Amino acid sequence: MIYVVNFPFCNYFGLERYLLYANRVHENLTLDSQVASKDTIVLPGVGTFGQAMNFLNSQGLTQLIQRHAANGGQILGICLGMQLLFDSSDESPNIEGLHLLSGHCSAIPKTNEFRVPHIGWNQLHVPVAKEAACKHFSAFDGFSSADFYFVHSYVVHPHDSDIITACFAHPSGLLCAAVASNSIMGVQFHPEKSGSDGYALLNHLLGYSD
Amino acid sequence: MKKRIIPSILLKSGTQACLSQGFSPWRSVGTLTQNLRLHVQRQADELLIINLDQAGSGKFVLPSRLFRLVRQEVDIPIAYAGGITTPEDASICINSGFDKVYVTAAFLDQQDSLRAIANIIGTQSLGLSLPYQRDCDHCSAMIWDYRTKCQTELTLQEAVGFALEQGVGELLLHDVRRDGLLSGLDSELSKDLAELQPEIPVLVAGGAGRPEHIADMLQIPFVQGVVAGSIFSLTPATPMTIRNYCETQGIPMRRCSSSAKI
Repeated sequence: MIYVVNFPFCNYFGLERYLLYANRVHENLTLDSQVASKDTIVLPGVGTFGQAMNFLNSQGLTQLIQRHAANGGQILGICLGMQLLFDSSDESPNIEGLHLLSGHCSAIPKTNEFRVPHIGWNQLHVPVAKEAACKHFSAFDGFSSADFYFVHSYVVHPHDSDIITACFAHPSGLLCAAVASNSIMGVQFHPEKSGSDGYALLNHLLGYSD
Repeated sequence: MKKRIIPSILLKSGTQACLSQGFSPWRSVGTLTQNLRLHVQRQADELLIINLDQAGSGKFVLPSRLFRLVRQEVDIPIAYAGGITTPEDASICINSGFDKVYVTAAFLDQQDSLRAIANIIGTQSLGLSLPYQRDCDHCSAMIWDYRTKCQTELTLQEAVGFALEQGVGELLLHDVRRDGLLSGLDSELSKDLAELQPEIPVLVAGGAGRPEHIADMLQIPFVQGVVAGSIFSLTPATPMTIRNYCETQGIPMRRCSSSAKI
């Protein structure tokens, strides 16, 4: 089962289209959901860090998600959903994230060459091969030959760089575009809005729970 | 960042798609369903739906059939424009499945109204569409009010300056004079943008008729994408052929895996 957090503002319908297209059994995550450790929780996200965490807290979902992670359950965060996996964000000071991964989110530096919000198609740069990285994103899987759709103003800075599985290029250097640590995964871009290549990546990511 | 090719779909009388010239609809080109499927199949980078029935109406309604079709047919980013004036209107669009909204009338009537919308749906989900007109090729660009079909006293430069202060995430600059003529985009924008140095993405529309027109515009550093309608209905060009041409000109464009190319 795939459980989806239906935030008030999120790309829920884009994700739902993929789940219907891929014939994946899914339902909204609620406090009453009977989430098994083999199930997957997906956090889509549009809006602000504070809005999203306030929603999770008010719905009683924060502890449920944290418990699922502690039990080894798979979690996929998309865009803002990926940022929520971490500890905090400059976008919403004094609001705690889910603390599933260690790190902080800050605004993408603006330059003459790089417009913020980062809106549009960009390519993924796969970090130097490490076992954890290659398990989820590999040049052999073809994901580095396609571009994916980004729309965000903040970027995550994991404390452990080993969990970074893909990056995007910025004048200041490579910035984090995807993470994976045990059963926790996150992508800063929107695979559900990246056409057939995005759907292929979602098959790859969500297939890991099978 | 890769530059973007964005087909626009003008809606009139429900779900009929049409083309425009000078911001006036003049020719029907099929249904919304047909156009959505065609553009998605042809690997558009994004889509923009402009609902002419709603634009300037003063009362926002998002037809349920419209967003059901979008949810059913579209796996790429899609924006909506037409009659959005309040944060509540914008929220309805985002919650219905659109990724971005564009506003115009709200800005023309009250320039500081956009901040409230950006605070609710997020800067990255709010775009400002600015129709403009030049009296001659080298004249200043003046904002054009599509409701009265008259120029305002606001210059494009002033409007962009105000917009940047309001938390708008993206700009769409639409040349009314060139709209639908397929004769080329407004090259004078390169000077305007060089002076403005906007820090947010800028899209351009009005006049694209050949891949060369689009490539010339995308060569401008401040322009991130071109929005176009007539070129996709009246010429053989597709988003993929235009992307391929732009790549030959050294412009970074979206890559699709070989299995997805059309």
